[in-house]
Amino acid sequence: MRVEAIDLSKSFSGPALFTDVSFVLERGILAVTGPNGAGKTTLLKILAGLAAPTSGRVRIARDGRELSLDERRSAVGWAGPDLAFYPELTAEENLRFFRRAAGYGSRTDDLRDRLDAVGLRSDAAVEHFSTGMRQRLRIAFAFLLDSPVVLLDEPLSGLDAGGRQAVAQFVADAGGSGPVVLAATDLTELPRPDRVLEIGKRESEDGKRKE
Amino acid sequence: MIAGGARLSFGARALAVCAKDASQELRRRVAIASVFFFAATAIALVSYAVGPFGLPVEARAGVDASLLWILLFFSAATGLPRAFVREEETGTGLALRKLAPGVVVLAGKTFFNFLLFLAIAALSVPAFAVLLEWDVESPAALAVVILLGGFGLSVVSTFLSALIARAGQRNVLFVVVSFPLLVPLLLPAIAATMEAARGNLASTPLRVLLAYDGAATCAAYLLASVVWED
Repeated sequence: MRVEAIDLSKSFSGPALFTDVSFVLERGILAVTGPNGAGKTTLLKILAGLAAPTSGRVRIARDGRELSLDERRSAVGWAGPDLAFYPELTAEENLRFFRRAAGYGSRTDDLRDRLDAVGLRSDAAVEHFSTGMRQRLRIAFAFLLDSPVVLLDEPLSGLDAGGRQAVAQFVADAGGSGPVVLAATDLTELPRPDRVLEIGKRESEDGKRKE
Repeated sequence: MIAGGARLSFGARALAVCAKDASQELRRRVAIASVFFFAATAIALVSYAVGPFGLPVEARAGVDASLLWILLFFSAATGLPRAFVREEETGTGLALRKLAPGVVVLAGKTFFNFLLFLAIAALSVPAFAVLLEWDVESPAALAVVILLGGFGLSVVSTFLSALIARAGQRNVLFVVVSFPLLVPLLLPAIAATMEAARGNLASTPLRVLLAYDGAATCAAYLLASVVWED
């Protein structure tokens, strides 16, 4: 899989969040860093196909063929702070539903294994989950379809020491097999990235951010 | 392609959306409670004002069919628009948008809304008939009218729900936008209901209902991805 960001810019009503962000990633971990409000979350949403850039484009290709938007959304596993779950359903029911909605069957033991892998063992409805439990569920969601590309936005947020260790291991494993893009303000507890892209900090007069 | 296991069909994916909505609704009971409370209150008030204690039976032959559809429309308007609104309120729309195309989500939610409408009709129509002493000569013809009318109502309400889900003042907007779109459905439904009460299966209004349902389904299918995406 090849993830290519080509001159991405994003602005809402005010000044641009970021301009001319470009990179190519085929393997390993790319860390996107920058201060709060720099646009890291927005950049990951654009890569996941959940938001449109103001200009530029994202190209995700498999064996040289560019994926359509629907294919891209399945090929990319994503978790971010905006990711919410159905509060009335349990973690397992949420994951089962999302797999089926995406068009894949779901076996109970497989879903339980996935939840076990992130240390989430609860039959309670998600509305009773703590912040850390919700974050563990977000990580399980990102890996739900075994997507070859993984995008994680502040993956350690709200996790206890055990959770941070488990997620860091997930990230390291994923980075070994395909492209992983991490957005984080602090990279200390995450696996060492292969490359770092800093946004939200003017490095040149025209405000362009290149890797 | 990515995850293991056989790929599910369009229908299975839509059913998953419907089952999820039903499961949520059965646990929360917000739409069900409000819809049935509205229907019960409206039937009680209408039966008191127009029923045996109000207008005599012979003076309200044409009024009953209109009242029934007003009751069904406003009961549905209480619950059906929640289909997509709830996704935006809970923030789950983003995850769903990532994994399922608009047409799958729209189909699943339409099916759930149709089932909800049928549940409303199954309880409120007999209650309406008993309390208003409304004699229906052909219950089978009435059932056909309710099925066709209810399906159109569900398709349009669900589609409008997707359209207004991210707007402010959603409830007001729904009623304002739905009125011109649903009048062409309600008028033949009322006409066919009057005929069913007289024991006839009115072919012209039923054909209009069928055409309306087909056109609404095609329009919703073609526009689903547009309203579902940002």
